[in-house]
Amino acid sequence: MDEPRTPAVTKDAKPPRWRAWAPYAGLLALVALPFAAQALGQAALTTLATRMVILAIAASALNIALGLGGLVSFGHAAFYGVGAYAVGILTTHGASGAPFLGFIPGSELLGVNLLAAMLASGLVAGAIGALALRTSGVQFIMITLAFAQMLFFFFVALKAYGGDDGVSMRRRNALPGLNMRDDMTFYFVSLAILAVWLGISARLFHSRFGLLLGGIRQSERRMQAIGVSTVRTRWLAFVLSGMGTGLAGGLMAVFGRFVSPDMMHWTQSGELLIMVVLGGAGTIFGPVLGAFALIGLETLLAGWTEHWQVILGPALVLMALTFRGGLARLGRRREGP
Amino acid sequence: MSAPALRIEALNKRFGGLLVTDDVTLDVGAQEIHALIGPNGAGKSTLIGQVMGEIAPDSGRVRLGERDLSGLSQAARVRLGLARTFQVPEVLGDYSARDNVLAALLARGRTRIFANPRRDGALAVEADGFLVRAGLVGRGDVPVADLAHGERKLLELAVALATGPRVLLLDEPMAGLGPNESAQMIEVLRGLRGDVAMLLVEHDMKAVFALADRISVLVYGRIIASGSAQEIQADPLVRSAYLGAEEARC
Ligand SMILES: Nc1ncnc2c1ncn2[C@@H]1O[C@H](COP(=O)(O)OP(=O)(O)O)[C@@H](O)[C@H]1O
Ligand SMILES: [Mg+2]
Repeated sequence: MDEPRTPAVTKDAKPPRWRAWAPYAGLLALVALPFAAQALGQAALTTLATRMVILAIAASALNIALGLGGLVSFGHAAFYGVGAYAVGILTTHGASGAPFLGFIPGSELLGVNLLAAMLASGLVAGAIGALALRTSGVQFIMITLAFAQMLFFFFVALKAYGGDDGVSMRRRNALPGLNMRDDMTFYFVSLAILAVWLGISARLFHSRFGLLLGGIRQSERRMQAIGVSTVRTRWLAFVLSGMGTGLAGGLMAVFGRFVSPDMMHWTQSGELLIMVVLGGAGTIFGPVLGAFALIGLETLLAGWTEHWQVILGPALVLMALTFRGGLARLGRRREGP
Repeated sequence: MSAPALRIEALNKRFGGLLVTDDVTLDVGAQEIHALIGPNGAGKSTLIGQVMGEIAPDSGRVRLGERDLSGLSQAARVRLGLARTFQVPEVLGDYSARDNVLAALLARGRTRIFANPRRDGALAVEADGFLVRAGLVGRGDVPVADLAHGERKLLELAVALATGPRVLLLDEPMAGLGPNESAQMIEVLRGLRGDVAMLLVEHDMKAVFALADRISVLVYGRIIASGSAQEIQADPLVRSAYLGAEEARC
């Protein structure tokens, strides 16, 4: 990747003070959002924000591979979709009582199903990663895209689970003690999952694994020369990244009570990439900002004109040029090229 | 003399029609600095690559002590005590100098999974120790992007030392250094003598004569001479094939 990275902060380039407060202000705004929406009689705002929060998890997960590992995956929609299908299939079987494949019991519990979503997407990411990570650069982009498209067509053909039409679920998965049918409750559950995910993600970025993975992004040759098994490290990053994206897919499936092959479409992979790059690849909060910005922009433009896609493209290019290095790097970059 | 730390035995490598390593046999004693000189394109870097396990030889073997390294990955060889530096510095450009060394320490498997190694005081002290040994005093916090070329060469050395090597493969450590920097590099390498065996690939004859216990000359992938500095300087084959060419260029 030749996108310029933020150099380590030097003494003469201290970040402005607002940067330290921004995450807390953001969290506060997110907590207040559904109450404000309710007060304004704009309940739809809460469901919109829920979608943003869920996609923020997916983008943040992609960021482990893309931002930290430098792996430009154009196939993360596959993991998003597999996570969603894991939930959809288990929920269907949980409702009907017939075990999946004759021996895996279904479930309508959120915790169980999200774990299954992560497991399933982790397995798929492990398999795809084992093959795709033998390549790099443009080839890696194409191979991840190809695998995702293969899965897309597989699920289109999977008539047992709706084929093209996907799977609808009668009710949302349950989280004992909470009324998940309530959109505000669901929003806060999603927000809590995002917060936990970001916490884990931040630890990971600053762990031994994160430091070594970042090193591999900068120079694989150097890391091999100090004894790092670079292929294994990148594979692990790819799997973790896929699992997080699968978690988001599963959550989205529960939220909308619906899964379809469209979730695996290549445009979904593209949107996740845009979120990460727009928000700031390699930063903790960047993908979250990117998810909110992209979904927000899409919603605004779609409400304004039906030709919104024509405007979205140039708007994104403009934003990319204005916020080089991503929204999350505002006020953090040193001056100069 | 004790058993050699590193032995290269009858190594051969071809790139298409080009024979880059032609039946090379050489060893490096446990306390020795063995210089390998030869014109550009002679196959010196390729030889280092084969010893490290980055490039697979067509035939022959490499031993570290008694251990045959054939088929071992680079990671395994580093664990057994091999380390290298690169002719063109391969450093982690987004990291500070200290983090570059830290990576080498972490590659050895230190610290717990979720601990933040940058906040580990003992690790930082250890990393700074390697920077100091390589002559980079007080430069730990400097982003690699801001380091001068000579400092990057020294950083390469610090990183290699941090892997805990028994044998160091140095690929032209003086390349691109100014006179003062060269003198510093020679001083640093001299300070390491005895602690770690070195295969020193180098063009700078002043450095070679200052450091080497033994010199081998590689031309077109073949060792054409091997011996002390005096023997090499007196060797007519070497004079015509290499040293002569050097003088003619000047
Ligand atoms: N991967 C490669 N494929 C083909 N030829 C190569 C490759 N690497 C090096 N060579 C060639 O092998 C020869 C030896 O290269 P090298 O080992 O870098 O020489 P030196 O380090 O002695 O200058 C050169 O002619 C170089 O062009
Ligand atoms: Mg060379």
